[in-house]
Amino acid sequence: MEYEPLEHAKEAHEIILHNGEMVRPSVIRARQAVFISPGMLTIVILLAIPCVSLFVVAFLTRGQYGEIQFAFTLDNIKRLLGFGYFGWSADNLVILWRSLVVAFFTTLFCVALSYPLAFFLAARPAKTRILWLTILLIPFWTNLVIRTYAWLLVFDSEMPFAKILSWMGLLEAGTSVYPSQFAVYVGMVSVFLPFVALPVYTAVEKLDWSIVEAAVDLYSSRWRVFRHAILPQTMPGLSVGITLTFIPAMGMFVVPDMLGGARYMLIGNLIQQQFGTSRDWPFGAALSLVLMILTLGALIAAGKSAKKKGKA
Amino acid sequence: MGLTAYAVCKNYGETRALYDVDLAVDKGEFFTLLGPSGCGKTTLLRIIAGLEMADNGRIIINGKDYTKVPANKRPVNTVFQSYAMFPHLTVLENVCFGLISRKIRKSEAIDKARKTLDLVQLSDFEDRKPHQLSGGQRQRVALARALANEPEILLLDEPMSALDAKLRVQVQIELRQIQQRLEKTFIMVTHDQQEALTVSDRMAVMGVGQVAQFGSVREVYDNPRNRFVADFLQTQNFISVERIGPCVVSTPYGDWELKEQIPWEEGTVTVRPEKLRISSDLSECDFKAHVNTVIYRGCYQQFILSNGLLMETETVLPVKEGDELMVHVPKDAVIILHEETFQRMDVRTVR
Repeated sequence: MEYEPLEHAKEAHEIILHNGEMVRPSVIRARQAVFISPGMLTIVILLAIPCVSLFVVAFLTRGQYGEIQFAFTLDNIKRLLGFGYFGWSADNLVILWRSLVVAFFTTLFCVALSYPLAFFLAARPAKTRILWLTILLIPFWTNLVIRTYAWLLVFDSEMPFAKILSWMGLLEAGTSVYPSQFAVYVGMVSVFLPFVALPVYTAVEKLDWSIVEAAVDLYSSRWRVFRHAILPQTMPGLSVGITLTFIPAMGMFVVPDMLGGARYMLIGNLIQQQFGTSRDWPFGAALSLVLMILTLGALIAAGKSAKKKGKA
Repeated sequence: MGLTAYAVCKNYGETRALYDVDLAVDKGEFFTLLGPSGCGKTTLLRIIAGLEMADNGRIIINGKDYTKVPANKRPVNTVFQSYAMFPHLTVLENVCFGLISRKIRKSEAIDKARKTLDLVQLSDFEDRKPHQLSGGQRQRVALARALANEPEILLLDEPMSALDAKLRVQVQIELRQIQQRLEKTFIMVTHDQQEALTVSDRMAVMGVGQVAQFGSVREVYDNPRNRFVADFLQTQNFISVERIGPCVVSTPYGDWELKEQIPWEEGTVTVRPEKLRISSDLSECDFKAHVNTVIYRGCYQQFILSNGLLMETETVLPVKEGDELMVHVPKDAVIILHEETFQRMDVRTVR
């Protein structure tokens, strides 16, 4: 039986022969709708509605009691750029820039640690490898806040780490290692390391070693072997890891809040504040919007430069 | 000169991959390591390349000791079995790779790479990526990539195993021609005796971790020393015999006279199927046999005889199954096999 496109039916009530049955086109369309609707509904409910409402709310006004008033305004965007009640200040832009820097270096540290870790894992015999992978994954099963509290404990002034640092003269005696930028980075890297290490490990496991050997055979230095034999082959895993790290790192607020102290604010903390204590949803929405655009922009730029490098 | 390997040993845990192998390859010759899989031929090649280190022994290239030198500092280059192209680089960049690693000026490197690509007739493909090439083209890029560095020795690890049969024959001839034109030392590993015979000047047949026999391809093919080599080179007919005179043996098919003195009382001789002749002269007839099976091979035939021997004809004859043939065994067709399994190459004299 030849397939007859539905377009042959000019009117909705016209009955056509379709796969051996006489039906109205509208019936077939209804059947199609039933099958695509779960996917469509998921996307609409979980993605489209939140994004659209975020976008809309970002241009609305905060009421006196923190409610949303349906009056269009650009104040939130202006405020975000630093034009506040008391003139211009760079605070918000500094926070944005700081968030970008923290996310960038967190990702960078994770990548730098992932390669040795992935090769270490891949070199384990099959039996102990499962054990090592489990050790890497156990923190995943623990709540993020609890994991971060564990770092507070480790960095406490009475714990060996702080004592050793103060013994070396790097830390004032009797103070704890947090709040500090260092503590934030340690916390961030420990959260995100598995997200990079696991995809990279999967890629390393499948590595075609003959290409590595070819590079060595062709007089390559270590860096050249990595650049031309290992990096291109692990690129798929690496880009997954970078994406999985950079995006949530941009919006992270638990770790900087606990380990960075009140003055070390990232955009994640600022957003959380607007939706929480400040009850300023429109400003929070505007901040979220900017975060989303920045993250997307950074990822697209990274993808483009990677493509360019891949060509060179 | 060329390559000398002294007493190379290599173990992988409990298993011995190489056991005291000596090897001497002259400058400018095409040398082949021939052997069944697992005989250690690839391991030996990798040790020469420096991709693996010998547990014991020495590797001398052009009179210089390279035993402990890592692969990226050795004047040898390898054509890998899988070709191991860099997938993200173009053909030209692949061929330049070794030159640029050695910090040769880019313009000079590109010049040299282009010349090498010309040699393998791939000048029109320099901007393609490896995945856009056919298997045969990729193989030639791999060859060009290694040759562009002008290595003292070119190593080839089963370079044709990924090609189909027809292309393989063509590539073998091309490879031989390139080697002769460049007058470079080539060392190839293969398990295909036909390939070894086609391309090489000399070859070493390897048994488990040792060299079973070496010599010019003709010498080894015509006079395999022992059963292992004869079997690997497919002499097919193995006959247990007893010595009844200095040059005469008693076989199940009658008494045969041989061309040389027999060194043992009881042993094995072998005759290639194509050396057996059909005779019409009764006085020349060494044995009579019926034809059990006729195998048609296009330009020749094979007969499986009623006494178990296999013979080949030069042309297609009107012989049917069940016919009786008179077979002549020429004196010099019978090869006497020796007992000992392995042969040490006297590397000191070659040097």
